[in-house]
Amino acid sequence: MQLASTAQSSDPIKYRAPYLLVSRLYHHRLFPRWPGLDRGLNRKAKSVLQHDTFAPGLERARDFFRYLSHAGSQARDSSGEILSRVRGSLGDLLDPALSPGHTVMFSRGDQEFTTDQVEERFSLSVREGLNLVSRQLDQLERDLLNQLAEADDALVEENFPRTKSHHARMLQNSLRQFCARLVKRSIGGRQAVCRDASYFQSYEKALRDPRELLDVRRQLKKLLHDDRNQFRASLVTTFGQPVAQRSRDIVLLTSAVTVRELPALVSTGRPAEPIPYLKVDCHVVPLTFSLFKALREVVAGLHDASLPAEIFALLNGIKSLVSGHLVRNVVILDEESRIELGNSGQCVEISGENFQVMEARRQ
Amino acid sequence: MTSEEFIQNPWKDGSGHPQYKESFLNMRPAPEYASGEVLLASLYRNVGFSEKISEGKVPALGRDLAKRLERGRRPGGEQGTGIGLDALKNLMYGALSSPKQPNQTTRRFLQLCPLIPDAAIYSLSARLSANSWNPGELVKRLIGFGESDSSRVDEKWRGLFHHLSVGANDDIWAKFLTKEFTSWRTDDLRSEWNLPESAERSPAIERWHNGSATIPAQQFVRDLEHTLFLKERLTRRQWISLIESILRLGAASHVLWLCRAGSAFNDAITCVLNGGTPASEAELRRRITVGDPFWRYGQVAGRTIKDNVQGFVMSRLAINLLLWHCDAEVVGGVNALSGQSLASIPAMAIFLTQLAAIRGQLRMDEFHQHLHRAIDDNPRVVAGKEGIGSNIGEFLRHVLGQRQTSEAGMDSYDQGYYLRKRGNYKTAPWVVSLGPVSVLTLVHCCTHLAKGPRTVEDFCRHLANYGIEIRAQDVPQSDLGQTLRNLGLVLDSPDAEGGMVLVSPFKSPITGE
Repeated sequence: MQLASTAQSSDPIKYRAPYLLVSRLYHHRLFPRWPGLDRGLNRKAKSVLQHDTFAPGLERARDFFRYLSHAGSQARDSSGEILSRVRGSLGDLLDPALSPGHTVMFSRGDQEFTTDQVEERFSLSVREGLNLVSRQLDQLERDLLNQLAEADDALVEENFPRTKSHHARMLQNSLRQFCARLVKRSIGGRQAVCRDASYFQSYEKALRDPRELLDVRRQLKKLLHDDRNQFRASLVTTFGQPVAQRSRDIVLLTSAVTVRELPALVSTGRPAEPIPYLKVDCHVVPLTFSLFKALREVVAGLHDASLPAEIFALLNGIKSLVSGHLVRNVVILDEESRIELGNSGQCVEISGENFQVMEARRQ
Repeated sequence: MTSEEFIQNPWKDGSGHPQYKESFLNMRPAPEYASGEVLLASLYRNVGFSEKISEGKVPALGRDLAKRLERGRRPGGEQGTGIGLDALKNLMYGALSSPKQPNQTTRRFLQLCPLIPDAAIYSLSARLSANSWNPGELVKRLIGFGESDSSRVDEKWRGLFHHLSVGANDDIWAKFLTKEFTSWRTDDLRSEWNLPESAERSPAIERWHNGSATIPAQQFVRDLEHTLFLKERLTRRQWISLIESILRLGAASHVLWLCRAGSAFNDAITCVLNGGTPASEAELRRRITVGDPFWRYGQVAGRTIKDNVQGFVMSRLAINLLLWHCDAEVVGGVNALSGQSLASIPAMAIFLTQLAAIRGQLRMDEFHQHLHRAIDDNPRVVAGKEGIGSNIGEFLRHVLGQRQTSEAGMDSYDQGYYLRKRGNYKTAPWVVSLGPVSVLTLVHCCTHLAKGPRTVEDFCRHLANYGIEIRAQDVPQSDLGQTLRNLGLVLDSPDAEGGMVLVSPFKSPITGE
């Protein structure tokens, strides 16, 4: 504010004032990541801004791109544990700018406006977009967007020679993208809109009501077992080692292991458990949000092989631990379990301390 | 022996001075090539088998078994488990086999993963000939070094036997294999695998414990015990790979420490001979303790191995030469200097003080001449390119490095490594990097007895006890951080040093152990 009011009109950094003020707003502080709008082809395209210095709109556009390059270099220079987390994992998880198109951003009367609609308006022009969301924004943001709307108007193709018009078009696109992102963060930040918002809601519900977990539990069970619902405990591989070739693979096949919810421990004097737990065989597995989301995604049709590496490693870890328990559990071994000896066509049936080698049942 | 005779052949086994031979500085058994599995298989043989299955006899026993497998006849008409002969052969040369080195691809011999004691009868001796060294002996000494109470050494050694045996509550696959393998034993081997009588500790180790310093062996003994107790919770193969991993780290760190101790003592002697003040006992202990790391995480390993090996070879030469000189030139011989001059740190400190006192009696010119002559005559040995130095280097490289093989689908067989190749080409340098099994083992050992939560900082300290250096703030960026995350061994926590809390891999979060 001080910069805007007291700095001389010729002060080269005065143009930054509205941007800095907006960037200090809480939701913009939380999500400071911007795509490189002033890099690549845009850098070359910026040359069109140098031609006509008299149009006030172009001056605004120039300010916008000057600010972007300044902010970009600031971001590269600043580092630190908290900043890197805000820019990294937190941004990926919670940034409203990444919310899917069908998410409702805000409602006016009984009409709801989704992310897609907001983006659509901004893709027509900044002024169109601003007209739609004006009432949802802070005064500071409105001021900035008004300036950018001027810049947007000045960047229309007709104002430039034909050889330059595609550059102008490109800059205009970047500017509209910036505005749409700014607005999505401003509104979405307050409405808790983000990419995984629906997953967060059902995860929260599951904390209170374990019945919500039914499909997740089933899915986990399915992932841990083979297509015939048998548990395969590899006897010749260790942690981190991929599944052996078919000819070398020795597995213990047992009936399915149980996957149950663990009832929340209610104890006086202690806070309630913050996350739900599942019990696989006799191992307790914390159902973290990432695991919950991965399982829900599999329910929704994601292929198992596309699960994130950490979830895959977690599933392998659970399998290894369950295997360790199964291979010495006499009761389970005595039931329907057998050892399959690679592709030799033989398998070993177990009964107590005795083994019986027989031809494997053809599938 | 005179110093003249000594420098004629300074590396021969018999040419070492008795004082040196009786000291902990004397590396016994002298390490040569061994992989992690060789170390483990040899440990099986040392713990439970008699002289009938010594290192040298293993290759012959392996060839014998292979022949009998070809003929398809079990000795004494035993029945075994009833598995078909073809299936059994497939098992021996397929699922149960452990990958061969790239230069052994064309050779036909049995190499079995040391899953059960019986597998160690037939394979995995350090050499394929009858004159192998005994890596299991090194582990036995390691336990001796790590455990100060001599009565507990026996207990540990016997505990090792009980854990390594295939008992009633063991993995079903291990039981199956034991039954099958037993039926292939020849008559004279029927009664093998018995409780060892005792792990007699050599006098050199007994004397070392008088005023000892902090060394990797102590951490190893604690960690080995924690890892042994995991047996109940894992499949045999998983458990064995964990044990192998901790053995590898323990043995290699111990050898590196011996190199460091030798060269530290040599430096102290050189300082005294040059007229400096002798190092005090505390100073000497500080230099010998594993304080400064051997490696930094992520660094290229070749240089470290070479430097340590050269330091050791040089120290062995110089210390022995000095002792022979003292014998000849000091009145009353070297024994007049101190009773057991190199047996322990206090004795070494006394030796240095007395050496300073009799410095005048030594013919220093002659000593230096002899030293230079010995170096000039054996430049390749002193450079660690052949002989004892090269052997130690090879041991460290193979025991720590990820197993290399050209067998299809077996490249990731070894996951308990501490050095890995940086790059996919043949001459790629080795860098310090922990494999998933190594990380699991060490995280378990680090968190096992902890009362409160353990952080990445604690893990770094644990690694430092083995001489591996990494700072807690560097962990998230390194591949160690990535492995920890992938295996689910850390949780982000704002309260923890380095921002991460270790999660014990083998404990359930609510029900505890």
